[in-house]
Amino acid sequence: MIAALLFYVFAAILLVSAAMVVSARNPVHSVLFLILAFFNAAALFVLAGAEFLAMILVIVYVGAVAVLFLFIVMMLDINFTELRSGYQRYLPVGLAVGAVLLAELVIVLGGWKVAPGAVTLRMAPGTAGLSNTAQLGRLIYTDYIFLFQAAGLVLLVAMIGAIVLTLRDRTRSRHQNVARQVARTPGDTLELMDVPSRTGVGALGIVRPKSAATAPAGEAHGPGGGHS
Amino acid sequence: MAFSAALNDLVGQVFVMFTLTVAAAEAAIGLAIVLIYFRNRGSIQVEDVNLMKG
Repeated sequence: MIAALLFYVFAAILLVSAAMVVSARNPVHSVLFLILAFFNAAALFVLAGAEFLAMILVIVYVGAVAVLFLFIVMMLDINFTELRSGYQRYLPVGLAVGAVLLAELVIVLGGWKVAPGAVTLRMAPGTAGLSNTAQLGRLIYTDYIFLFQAAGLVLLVAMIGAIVLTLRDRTRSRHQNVARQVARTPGDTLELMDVPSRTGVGALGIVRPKSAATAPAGEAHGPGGGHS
Repeated sequence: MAFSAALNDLVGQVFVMFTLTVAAAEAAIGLAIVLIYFRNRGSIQVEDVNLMKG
């Protein structure tokens, strides 16, 4: 009784907040309604007995994906009043597409019947005495290990793709060129000379820069040239 | 998810987990595409998206 009541409450909040996501004027409000929708979906998962998925939804979707959305929405300076200028014009088309999808759902789910032997055909019935997380772990790391690895690969490809797409070469910043630094040899930069006593480097053809004339004598040639 | 709960079959939850993974990955890629488009053009008006028109 209480579970059914909670289900309807969470489902109603979920639907209302999902509608508000697409109809809110401020995009930041949209993202906050999206977070509310995620929380209600997680509550529905808990009601359905999938505690691990509910926690994953809260941690990954609220904690990471919603924050990502928030960052992007705040980063892009979007003129949303202009963006939704065609709202009235496209409303009938959207409603028609929605009605078709709803009709398909009703037709398919209305004629749905669970086969009498469905319970015996289960691929992985839950083991008694184990928590939901332990049951899922036993399943994922044994029967579905290749799918699990493939999901990891999908995430890796998505990560590399997002980095490649958004990385830009910052030409204006001063950064270290490690390869050039390592490839430097003393012969490129150092020159050893014999300077006769009490004549000065001017006799060897080394003319001091004008700015260095006033500098202290030890730093006349700057770092690296101090041996001449 | 609902069928998994009704039939007490855990495969449905595994399926939901992989679906969540793929959805998160493609959300990240889509947002990256929108971001670089905005960076290049300064606008994400759908009417203006004609960069690939010959």
